[in-house]
Amino acid sequence: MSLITPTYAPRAQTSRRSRLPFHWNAQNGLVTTALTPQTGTFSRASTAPLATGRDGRLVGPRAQGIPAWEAWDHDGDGAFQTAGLNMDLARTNLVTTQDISAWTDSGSPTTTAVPSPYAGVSAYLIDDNDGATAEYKIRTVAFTGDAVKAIAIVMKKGTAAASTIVLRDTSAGADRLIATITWSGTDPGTPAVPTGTYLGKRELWNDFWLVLLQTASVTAANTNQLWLYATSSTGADTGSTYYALPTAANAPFLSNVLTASQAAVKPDLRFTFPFPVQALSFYLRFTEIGQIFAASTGILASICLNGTSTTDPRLSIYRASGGAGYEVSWDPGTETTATLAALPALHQSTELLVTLDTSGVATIYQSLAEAATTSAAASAQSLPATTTYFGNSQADARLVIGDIGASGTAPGALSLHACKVDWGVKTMAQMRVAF
Amino acid sequence: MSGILYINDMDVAELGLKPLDLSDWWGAPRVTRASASPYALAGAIPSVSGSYEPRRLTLALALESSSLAGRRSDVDDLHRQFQGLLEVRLGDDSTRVGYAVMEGMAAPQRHPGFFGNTWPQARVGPELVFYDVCKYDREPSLVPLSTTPFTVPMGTAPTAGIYTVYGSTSPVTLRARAYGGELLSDATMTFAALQGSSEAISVDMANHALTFYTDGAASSSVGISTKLTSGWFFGLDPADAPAVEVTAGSGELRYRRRWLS
Repeated sequence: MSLITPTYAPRAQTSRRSRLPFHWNAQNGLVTTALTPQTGTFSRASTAPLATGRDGRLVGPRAQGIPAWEAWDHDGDGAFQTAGLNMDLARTNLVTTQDISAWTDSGSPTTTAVPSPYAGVSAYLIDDNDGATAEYKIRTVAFTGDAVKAIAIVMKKGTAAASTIVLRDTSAGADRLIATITWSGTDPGTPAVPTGTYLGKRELWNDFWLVLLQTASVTAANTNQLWLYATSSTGADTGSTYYALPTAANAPFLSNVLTASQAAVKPDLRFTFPFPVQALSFYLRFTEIGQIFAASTGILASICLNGTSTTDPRLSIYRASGGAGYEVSWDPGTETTATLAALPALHQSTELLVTLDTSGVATIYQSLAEAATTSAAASAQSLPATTTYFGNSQADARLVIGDIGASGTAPGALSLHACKVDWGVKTMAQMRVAF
Repeated sequence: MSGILYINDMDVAELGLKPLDLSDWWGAPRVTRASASPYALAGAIPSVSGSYEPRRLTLALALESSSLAGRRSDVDDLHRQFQGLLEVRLGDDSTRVGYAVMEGMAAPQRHPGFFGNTWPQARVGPELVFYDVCKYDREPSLVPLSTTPFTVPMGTAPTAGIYTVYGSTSPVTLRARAYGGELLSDATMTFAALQGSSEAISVDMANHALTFYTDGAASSSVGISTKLTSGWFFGLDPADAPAVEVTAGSGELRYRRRWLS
């Protein structure tokens, strides 16, 4: 007797299933569920920063536990089409009111509220029309700890040819940031920043731009004021500039703006990974959002660690403090590392591939904006016995995104597009399309 | 150079396949409607609502194997790659994808036994059935929800999407307006008050599913009637040029535009 009737067809599959050992991508409907059967866990104990939606307008702040999806315009066509999951670091906005019209005046600038890229907060047109003294708005920011700090703000050209932003230490009589944006059409170009650092910019909705800046080291006990000029700091200049969502943080970089006083925390995304250590290829595609500016050690992402500790064997990808590029760490008991020669640029589409071959050699590959692949190989560390799992426990083996195994111990920042694992050593081109 | 046909992101050329004919990929799905003959009038009036028949595409692909053994293994690879729900797209139209299952494959190749030589090349004709007849944007879209109506970019077919509403301590209504600003009476859902930033509601319009987030923990165990005080799940029709809004708080809509061809 036949056990299976000859007309028995394979199961109808009603959802897309990848045949890789692990596969997740944001494109697949903006869900934290993998295309493979592993159980994924997403959590975030508080809100997330604002993020960019389809037409460059800002979305959020997401409630606790809601993934912060965002969209990127990597081809520059004005449509934000590339989906990502924002895995930003914890940040608190020290600007306690974003109603710039309520800020203290220097001189008598006029301030007009207009729609901003974020529906919850207005943008403000600050206008200096006296032609005698530079007019600007002032807000004191209470930093904690003497260090380099991050400033992020949304701006748009008004009638001013140039617009200046200053962080002024009024106690010491010193500037900690001077950034003068000379507008080229509606584009802020590359600001002149004689004090502090210009980190980058990103175009948003309706000719608004997100501008990311970094101060020189501030003295937190002093009075530090954010000054937003209507035009340049030259008294005879007249004109206007739109500002919105000023954000200052006790951190060296910001990837986006936050609402007033908002405290955003880092999310946690991890998947079960119940496979023994073996030759494999681990692929990540993400948009660089600031890890390259990290002043201290930061783990970008790691794979297959014990979910509650950092038990060996483990394979990690991260950017170490001062590192020339991203780095792979392969540690079956004794660690070996390899570092790439170059970092991505801010907001660049980045692909990383780590391969672990049967000889125990871990190699890291990088492709920026799908350009030619560069690589670096670590010295061999033999693979452990075939019954050994990552994290030394099948039950606890995890693939962790944006952190090492123990949550929050070495967080990284990225906007994740895809993450895949395949067995054996594969090329970047193969992993890019593997499904 | 991009490929011609991609199945689940893989160029079929990597399977040794060369597309010869893509059937009516660009065609639109066939609509079935009821009709009625009105009294004292000539002709018939079609029903307002109709349904689409699944689209069936029979591809013609050349299998360019180098040996008979290779042909067997290539055909097996083809069956593996064409299992399950397939995301199908063309290389020269890479922003849109369709979802299909393979329900048959013809392989009218010459058999070497008949011709006295080996002939590893073959023609294969996988029949793809698109039970969801529409094509989708390959990348999802994300738009913000606020008390200001947001005009949702649409394709040429209705779409549903997943809404997430957060940040309102008062009862909140999620609703849509048509071009011109009038409220769409059948596109409204009112929820009981949220508890500020610690609570959110996620509404999956296509699957009629509500998920509640309290202090970051997701729960689907709360009955719809507990939180949904009026209205019902709704979709967005491009004929309305719809705009969506919430009456309090903020949120987001995640969706894919759908297209008839």
